[in-house]
Amino acid sequence: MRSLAALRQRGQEWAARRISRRPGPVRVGRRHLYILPSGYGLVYALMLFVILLGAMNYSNSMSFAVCFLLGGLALVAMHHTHRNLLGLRVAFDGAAPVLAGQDAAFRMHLENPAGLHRVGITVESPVGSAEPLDLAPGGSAVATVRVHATRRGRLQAPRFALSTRQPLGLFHAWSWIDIEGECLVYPEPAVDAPPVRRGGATRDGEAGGRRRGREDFDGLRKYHPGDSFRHIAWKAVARQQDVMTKVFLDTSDRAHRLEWDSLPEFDPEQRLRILCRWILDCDTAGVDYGLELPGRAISVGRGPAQRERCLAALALFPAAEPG
Amino acid sequence: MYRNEALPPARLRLLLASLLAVTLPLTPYLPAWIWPVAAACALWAVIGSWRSLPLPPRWLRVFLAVAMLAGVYLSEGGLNGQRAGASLLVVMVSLKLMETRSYRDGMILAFLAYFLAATGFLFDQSIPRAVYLFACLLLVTLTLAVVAAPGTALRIRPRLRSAGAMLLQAVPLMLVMFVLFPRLPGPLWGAPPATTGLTGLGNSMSPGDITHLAQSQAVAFRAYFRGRPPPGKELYWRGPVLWHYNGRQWARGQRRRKENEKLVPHGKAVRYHIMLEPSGTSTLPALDIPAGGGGSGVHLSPGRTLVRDGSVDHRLEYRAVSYPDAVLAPRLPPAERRRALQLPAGIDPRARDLAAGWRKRGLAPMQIVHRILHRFHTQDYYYTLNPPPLGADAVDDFLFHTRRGFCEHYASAFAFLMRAAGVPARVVTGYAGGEYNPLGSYYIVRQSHAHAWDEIWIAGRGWIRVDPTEAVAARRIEPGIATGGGGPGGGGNAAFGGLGILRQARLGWDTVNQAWDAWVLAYGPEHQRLTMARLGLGDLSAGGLVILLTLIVTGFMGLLTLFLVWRHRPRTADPALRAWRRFCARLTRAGLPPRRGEGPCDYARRVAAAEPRLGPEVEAVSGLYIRIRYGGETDPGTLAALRRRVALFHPMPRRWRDLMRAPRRARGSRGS
Repeated sequence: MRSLAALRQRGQEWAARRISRRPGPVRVGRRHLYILPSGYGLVYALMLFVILLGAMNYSNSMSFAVCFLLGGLALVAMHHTHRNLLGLRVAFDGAAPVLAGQDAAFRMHLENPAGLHRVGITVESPVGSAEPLDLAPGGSAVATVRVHATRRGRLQAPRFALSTRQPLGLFHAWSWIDIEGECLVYPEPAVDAPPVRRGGATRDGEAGGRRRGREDFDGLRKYHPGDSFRHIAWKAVARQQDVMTKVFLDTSDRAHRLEWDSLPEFDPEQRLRILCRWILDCDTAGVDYGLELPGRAISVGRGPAQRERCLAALALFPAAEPG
Repeated sequence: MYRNEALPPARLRLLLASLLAVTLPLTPYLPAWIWPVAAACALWAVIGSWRSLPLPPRWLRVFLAVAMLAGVYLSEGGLNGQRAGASLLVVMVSLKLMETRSYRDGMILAFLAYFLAATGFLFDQSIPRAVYLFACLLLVTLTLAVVAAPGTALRIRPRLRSAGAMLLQAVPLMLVMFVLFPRLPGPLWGAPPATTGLTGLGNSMSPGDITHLAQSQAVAFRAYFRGRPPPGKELYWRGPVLWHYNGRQWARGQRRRKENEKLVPHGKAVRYHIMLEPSGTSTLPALDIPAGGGGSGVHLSPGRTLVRDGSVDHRLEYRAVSYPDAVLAPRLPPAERRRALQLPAGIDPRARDLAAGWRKRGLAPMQIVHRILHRFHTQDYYYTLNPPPLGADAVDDFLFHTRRGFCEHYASAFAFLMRAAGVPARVVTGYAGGEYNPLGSYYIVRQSHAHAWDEIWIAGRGWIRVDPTEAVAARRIEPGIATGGGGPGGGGNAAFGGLGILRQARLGWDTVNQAWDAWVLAYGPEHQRLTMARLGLGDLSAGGLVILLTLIVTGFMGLLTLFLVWRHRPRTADPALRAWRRFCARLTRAGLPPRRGEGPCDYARRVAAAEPRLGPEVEAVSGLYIRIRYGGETDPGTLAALRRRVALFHPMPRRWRDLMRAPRRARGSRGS
């Protein structure tokens, strides 16, 4: 078994040398399309051999005919299996950024330009295979290639196999696809991050932040004489609780400035992880935040765009030179 | 990946249907208890797939396996042979069914279904069975396609189409392999099959003991004559020659001489070949009197019977030459003469007296023959297949008392009388007559044509055939006896035109069957050699055959690849655009290609200017195209009109049509 595994390894290396990374779309060509009998194919061959022996022993013409028809069927099925993949076009269709430690999903656009119905096309990614796809003539589908994202940064699309066993399961045809495409991997959020450390005075005078901030509801506190009547939480009063005052904070007061420099005691990657955690927490809490990294500052804001912008900055933050 | 996923009930049902279909033809060869057992196993599988029943416990499965094995052993008397093998296979499939849960099990069962289909042919290879089982192969292939595709929708129709297409594409491969795959003679392991229901010529006959002769319509052999076939009443197919009579039974007797009886050829040689059904004996019927026969291991016995080393267990084809008018054994050595006059002592006194009377009167042998035949013809002798049993003096009993019998009774009594009168005589068994099939130009000889006649020896003329049964008056032949049954001449060469449509159909079916037997079922090492010789590949060894086979199969696969590429070529979805492109391609061939970036309107105008002859048609096509493609025309009639016009559009007259027309025109112009 070890030698078999070694052989398989050698085969894969050989196949790897034969393909080069291309920007895509990639067409599955003959040169990169491999086919071998499947395990079932071998069982089928054994069965044909037994039928052949019986036919020879009993000089039974019709058994010969059955054996030859089924043998021919296997050869024909081999061509159909091969044809099932041949000419398929694959294009990279993007990948949503993920956090390190999650699975990156590269979307691959499969297009069937031929007038044939392709059935049972499987995308074999490094972590398991997806459901087989069927492609109508001229049709297309999107499959995802999943790979475990371990480190922040740009993750290149892995080499993956498109494979099929259809139509009869006797042969296994596959082609390695090495297509250009990348997925942004954010740092893994730190588990035990310190609470957000406020940065110094707000330096930017962003009007937008302050304007929205006026209506930012921060919580309730007991009524103190002198509080504006407009801020009394009348609903709470109606529920016969204590008289409460709604508290609004001015954005410029509470916008977090998430700063690299505020975490001097951690190593750089850990700092990035903590910053990531802070960004996610701020985003969940719905507060405004800005990010300050050495050489890059992102002004205060919020919402998905702000989150992505900040996380991308973390993801692409140059790694510390080793040593 | 998905192999261990549970097999859904719908797919399991299809699998069960396939298995049932391929097992049904085996029914007559299986012990009766197998069906209930198999049905129970199938039921278990169905229920199991329906509401996840646990697998039967291991001990139960082992117990069932042992029990069923023992069952097969007991009902088949062993585990060897085709019937036991088929039973074992069905048992195996049943046990596998019980534990069938996943796609993987489904695949294995589909393979076993193929195997069962092949097994079905071991017992019977007739055309109806072949049609049925090959249809089953389609069903099994569909099943395989369904169980090989887990995780996809169960769509029967496209899969059936695909399975059918693949099988059709495999048919040429099957034919090539069938013809070219090297065939080896003989069984691989020492278990030659026992052919069922063998009937053939025996090596003896005992007319007194048979009270009922079954008339089997089974085909004994078919005979093909080179040239004009002789008339049916002259067809005597020689089998074993019987010399020795012990009072009840005629047997071959002790053979004294090694060399054959001398044959002096006379008259025309008749050449023919015979397709003999398995008979279980070594006798090869040959037209009287055979001069030689073809094939290895075939020779003539001293009594001029064609025999083979070993019995005929498979259909056998052989060639032979006969001289119907030849003189057989002009000299009779004394030892032979004694054998030909042998009679057991002390029996049948009345017959002996009758013969002694003729002898005393000094009648010549032929006169004695005529006396006997006259007696059979004029007195109340009956021809019947259900004669009464004969007593101790069998010949006396028959000649003077019962007077009822079939060919063996007449032949036996005749030989007895001739010997008693001092004329050397012997009994010849074989077949007489045959049914001519004008559709295939051959004679069908059935088991019901089996016959016995006599030969007497006359100095200078040798052995002469006498058929005493023929002498029985037609009116005393038991009604209802099939034509040709026991007696020659009947029905043999009757005019075909006056026959009913039923008989015509029967003969037509026999022709088809016969071609099937001769060309398909009998195809073996011998046939293969002949076929290769006919194809001019006479000296090809087995290795050569394999190379040739590989080349042809590879070539075919290449063609198939091209076909698949062409068949599934990318096609424009818009039929109007497709028609327009075809139109442009035709114009390009005529030397008027569209220019880059030229719209259909401009193109049509330019073509019309360059080739005014084409103007109206080009305008019409482009007009239709523009209406559909740009004018939002959705009427299917317009599209049909466009396609029709494009199909009929030939800017360049076809060359061959030109060639055909040119001289005619030239002649016409000269004439006017």
